[in-house]
Amino acid sequence: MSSFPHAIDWSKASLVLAGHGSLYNSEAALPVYINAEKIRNKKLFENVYETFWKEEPSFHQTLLSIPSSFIYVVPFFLSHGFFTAKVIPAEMGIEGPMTRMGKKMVHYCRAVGENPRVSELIIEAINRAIDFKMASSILSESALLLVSHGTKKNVHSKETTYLHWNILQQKGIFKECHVFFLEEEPRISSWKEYVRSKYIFAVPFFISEGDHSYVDVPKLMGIKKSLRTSPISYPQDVEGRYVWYTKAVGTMEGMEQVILEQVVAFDESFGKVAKVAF
Amino acid sequence: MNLLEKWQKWLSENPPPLYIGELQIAEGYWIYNRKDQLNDSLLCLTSLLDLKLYLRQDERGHYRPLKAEMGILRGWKYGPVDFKGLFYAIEAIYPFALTHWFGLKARIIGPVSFQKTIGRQIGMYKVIEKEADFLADRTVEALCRVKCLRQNLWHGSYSEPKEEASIPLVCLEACPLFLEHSRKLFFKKTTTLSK
Repeated sequence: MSSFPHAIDWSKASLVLAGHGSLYNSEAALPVYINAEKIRNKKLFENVYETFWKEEPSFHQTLLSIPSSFIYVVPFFLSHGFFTAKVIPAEMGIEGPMTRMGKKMVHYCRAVGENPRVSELIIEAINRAIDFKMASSILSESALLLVSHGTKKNVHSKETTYLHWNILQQKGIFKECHVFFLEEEPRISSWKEYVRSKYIFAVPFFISEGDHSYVDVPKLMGIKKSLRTSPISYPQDVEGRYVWYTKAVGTMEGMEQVILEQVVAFDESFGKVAKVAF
Repeated sequence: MNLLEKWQKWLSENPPPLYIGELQIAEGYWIYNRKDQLNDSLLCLTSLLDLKLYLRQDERGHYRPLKAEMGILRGWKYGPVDFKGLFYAIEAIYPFALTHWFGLKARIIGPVSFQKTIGRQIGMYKVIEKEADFLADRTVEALCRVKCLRQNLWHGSYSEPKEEASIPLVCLEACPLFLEHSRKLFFKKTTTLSK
């Protein structure tokens, strides 16, 4: 670990929110922009920057261009995988949790999806989706489905999905908790074989809305109405089961708090105590 | 003197109207498309987030990933803002435009060669390395010269500014769209050769 002194006062540091972005889908970057703006409005940092792998400003140019001496980089990704372990470090020149770059000290935080609070956001989103009075009676008779992408290219991509599945299961709120994937087993198309409950809460475990959350998952689940064109009413009847389908996890309310908690977690991990109320 | 102080000083020496890319800056400060007239009929955007999100689309409603692509939306205005607000508005529309220009003048930032950009690739863009010079030349011709307002400073070819500007838009490094275009060209060429 470097002995370079690090920022205690966030007001002298910049926060960089690093997302994937897209060259084809405008929506991919929205949660990064929206959460960056929410944090910017709190006036906790000297400045807050958005940066992307597939959009401008790029990871590399962003880190070169920020004038602050202290920089926190928070990956706006749900898992610690290829992008957070390889791409962002390679593009930004990050060598570990703390990297000194000339006069700059870069603090590399963990991905937002790794924060246990994401499970709370999921529960809050489900509670908002149904009538509050119905919540206690229905949830205990319901199944929660976390639907993630999954890929055989990276063994770590599923880890955070299972982390939150485990947390949610231990809370005992739902009768059943399941994980399904688009590109791995168990596949979301086979959910009816595994899930017994009549009431289903499906959560797209994606960082932003896009074809996977709007089209692929609902279609494979048997939701016939299009989510992309207009909001639909819930529950949707899928072969006699009542299905609620939430927003993508990365777009859920309260994600800005998760981002800030990742910075606090970094500070605490490296012997600092964040004296910032947010 | 920090960046914002340099900007404030430069603004005091260069009063509006000012031109950056396709933008015009009027007294006040107001920022809008230079093809428009500043008046009440323009949609007034009220936050930097609005500005960033609104200008992500072109006039047909299609997503425009290249921030300095010619044809920025018309019919909007942003302001009134102070020098600081103006700085952040310009950088919201053209990321790091002022940072790079002032950084270049002060020689604290400079162009990044295509070899360096490609050299650090570890994923899908690694293939570009095999034909880097060829792909860079072709992509500059097909993308930068045709679509982008920035003056490319990292490629050997000289490019004329496309718009009269108080502050030129400069390109210091191949952008994500450039890499994507180069990668597609690589596979197109490989496929053509294998037929």
